[in-house]
Amino acid sequence: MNAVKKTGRGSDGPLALFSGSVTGSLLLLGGLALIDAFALWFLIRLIDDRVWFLALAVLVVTIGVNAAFLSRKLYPFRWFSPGLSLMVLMVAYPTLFTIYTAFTNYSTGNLLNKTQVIERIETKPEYRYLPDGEQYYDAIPFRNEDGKYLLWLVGRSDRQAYIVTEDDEIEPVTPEQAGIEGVEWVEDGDPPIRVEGYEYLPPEDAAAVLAERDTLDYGYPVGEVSIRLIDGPAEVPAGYALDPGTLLFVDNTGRRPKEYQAYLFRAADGDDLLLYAVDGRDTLLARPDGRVVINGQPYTIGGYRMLSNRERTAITQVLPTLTFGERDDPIYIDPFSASRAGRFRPRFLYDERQDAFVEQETGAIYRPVKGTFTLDRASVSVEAADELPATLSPGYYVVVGLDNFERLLTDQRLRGPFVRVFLWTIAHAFLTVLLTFSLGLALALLLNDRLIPARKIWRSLILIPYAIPAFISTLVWRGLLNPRLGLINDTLERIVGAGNAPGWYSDPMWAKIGILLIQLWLGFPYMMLICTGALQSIPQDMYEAAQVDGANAFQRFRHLTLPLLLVAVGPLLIASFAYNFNNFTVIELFNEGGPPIANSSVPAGHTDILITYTYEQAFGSGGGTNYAFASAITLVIFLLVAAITIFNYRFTRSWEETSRNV
Amino acid sequence: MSSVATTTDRQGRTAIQRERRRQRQRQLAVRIVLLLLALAYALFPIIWIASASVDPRNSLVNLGLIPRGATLKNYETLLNNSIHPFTRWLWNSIKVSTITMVLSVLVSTFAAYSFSRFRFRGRDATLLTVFLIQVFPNSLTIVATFLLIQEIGNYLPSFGLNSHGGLILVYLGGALGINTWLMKGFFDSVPRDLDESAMIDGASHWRIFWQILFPLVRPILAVVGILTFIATYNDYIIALTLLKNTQQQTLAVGLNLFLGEQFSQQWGVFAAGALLGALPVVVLYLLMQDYIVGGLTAGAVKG
Repeated sequence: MNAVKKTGRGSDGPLALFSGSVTGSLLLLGGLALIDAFALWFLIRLIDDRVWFLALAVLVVTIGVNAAFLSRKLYPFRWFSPGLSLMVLMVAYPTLFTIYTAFTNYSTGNLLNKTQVIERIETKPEYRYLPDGEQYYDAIPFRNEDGKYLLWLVGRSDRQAYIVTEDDEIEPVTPEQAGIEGVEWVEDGDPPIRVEGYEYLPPEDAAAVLAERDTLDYGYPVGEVSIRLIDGPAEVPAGYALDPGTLLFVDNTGRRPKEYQAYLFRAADGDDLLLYAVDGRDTLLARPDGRVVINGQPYTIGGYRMLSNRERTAITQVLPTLTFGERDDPIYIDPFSASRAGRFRPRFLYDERQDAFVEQETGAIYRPVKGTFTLDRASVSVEAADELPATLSPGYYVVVGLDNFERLLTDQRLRGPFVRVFLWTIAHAFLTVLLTFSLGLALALLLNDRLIPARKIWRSLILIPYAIPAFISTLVWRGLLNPRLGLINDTLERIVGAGNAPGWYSDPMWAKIGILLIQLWLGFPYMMLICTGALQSIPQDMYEAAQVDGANAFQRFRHLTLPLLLVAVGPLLIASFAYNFNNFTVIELFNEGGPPIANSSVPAGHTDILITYTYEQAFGSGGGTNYAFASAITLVIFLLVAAITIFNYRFTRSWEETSRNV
Repeated sequence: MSSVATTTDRQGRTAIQRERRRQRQRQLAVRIVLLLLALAYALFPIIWIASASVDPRNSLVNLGLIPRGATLKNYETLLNNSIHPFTRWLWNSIKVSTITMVLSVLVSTFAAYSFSRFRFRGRDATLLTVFLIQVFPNSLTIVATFLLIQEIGNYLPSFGLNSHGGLILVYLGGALGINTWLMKGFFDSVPRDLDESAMIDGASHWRIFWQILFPLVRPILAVVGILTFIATYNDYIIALTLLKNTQQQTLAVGLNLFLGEQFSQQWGVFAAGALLGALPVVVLYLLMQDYIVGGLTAGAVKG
């Protein structure tokens, strides 16, 4: 900006921008180029993700901004461009989107588009089946440091062990992977195994070898599974006895420390020690390279480590979503039983030609009905149809026409509460304006006397309730009106007796009165302000004329002050009505529209107004998110606000004139 | 009361005057008594909450208008609360409101200048649109706005949900209509001769705007700015919808959160927060009272 100012005036060339100077033009073109580059990047990504509506809005804004800056004819729009861009994006777009949403079924269960839903159903773990001739596998999950998974599978039919990872195809387990290469079991032998390349150390030899070492560390990485040899009474865990005839040690592989019968083997060509330990039915084989095999099951395979039970429980939701083995012949974990895997295949496949899903075992057809793929019972036998789900979830959002509005009119348990909410919305706004205006006018009349000392201070002090943010005052009043502890019931109970004070939270009528009390306190200073202004603008000679005509004080007020005042503040009263029509803050913060209306099909409360009711439908904790229904009600509010505004506009003809009068 | 003037006609002037004066004084006394009652009504919740904020018991139970003892402990607890970061909320509110105020005034001043100083095709249609959008508060389209900001956040997280950028964007859109509308009126009241003579001297529109008109409308800009600040500071619905992260929340959302969880046990601390939170706006109001009243009656309505 400074640069532009300093360069001063210039000629209006074809690229005449704000200043007409060359520097200015260049700066502006540069800025425009930056905006365009950003918009292009954004557009490409939006189109890529098929976010059409937003892409359109961004496109309109970008074209508009470019036109305004590149065309001389559109010069005035240059000044609007920031404002108009904001208007298109933050006002026009949400408005149009609200209208669109009102005619869709956009709600919990129908939050995705059709393409996303087709993909979701085809890949949904719960929607898979095991084709005939395929076997189940018992599966044990492993995980490496990168968070990648490996499955140890044992075929239920062929009893063969396999491993499969997310990247590699399924393969039978090699002895090396199992950690049992060169190992031979000896029935009832002592030691129970023979290991190729290793020499068994009898207990007395083992004790001699171990006397030189404190612990044996195994596991991958070393320390993750460490097996500690206990070589002195001091290290024996509580509850264990040291038997001089056997070696004792504890492992920390996630189990409790325990005692094993241990057998040590020494490598024929070095000092490396291999350990085999038995405890009843548990066996443990620890190799010097760190590999550990527990009950014939390797604890580590390559960089993968077996998951503990707790780790497994934590990822039961994740595992079935992973694909193992080859892409075109994948293996999945069963979503209903995490210890089972198999070559599951999608049960429902989308057929583009029919625009329907086909069930793979029975050939049943699911056709889209208002955004939900629904079983066509004619496509399959009655017995099979009873076994199949009636609809597939999730559904997708789709235009459903007037359904939302129809529901509003026909659903008894919806319509009843809605009518109540509607009536209270109007009553609440009307009574709020009436009460605040009455008290405000009375105070303005009281203060409208030049003899009252320090009028400005009076006015400032009475203004304070209005100055305090409504979200704070409402919370304060929530405390004041607390039925058991609040100051108001505390005081009332002294007059009417304990237990007789109003239930501001629980009783529908008293809750409404409570809200009006809060609104009165919040709003009367504003009314006093605008009435004071209006009173001062009524010419004094009109009163004198009325007095000469013999009108008394009440007549002067009724026939002179009030009509003139209403003309002046009328539009503001209507605007205040429209504002309170949508006064979310007070009602939401006082009691969230409560107490609830019984037997309503959607959440609704006795003091809910349309906007809090709408909010509850869209974001409420009670009944899921129903954006479509909320938008439909928003349209109803739109219409009402429009009606109020047209009435107001007629009433005053124009805003500018009235603001001059006040 | 006013019949006195006519019935006492025959009893001489001084008597009438004396009677009138007595009447006036009685009337004045009645007025002042009524005003005192009104003042008591206006101030008792404030006195009550002020008393709660210094009451050492920090509870709603048996709380009167006069505190039983005075302590600043509640304020200390409030300012050193890590679960409910009051100072953070207050700062967020002030930050968001200030940025919204400055940008909104800037954007709507540009637009208003154009409306006021240029005659062009499409002006009436644009004006009508601006008029219409300031009629419908943007809290009405909160569902669509939420979905929009969520979508934007997928690409630009600093303008998505839980971001102040997104929140400010929504506030700017909401304040645009009314502010442009108000500002256009003020620009219209500045004589065109001023900028026309500058134009003859060869000044560009940019120069005219910044060097001639802007200084002239500055007081009005202050009013529009303050009204925007207050409206933003007071917003609950939009901040509630867009901000879910405690650290990002504004005072309106945070204070309710605080109260919701520990209603009667922490009343003293809440009271301290209520007073401190109201302070910036109340001070603004009382200082700028005369300006604000003008702006309010021109259409910026609250309560």
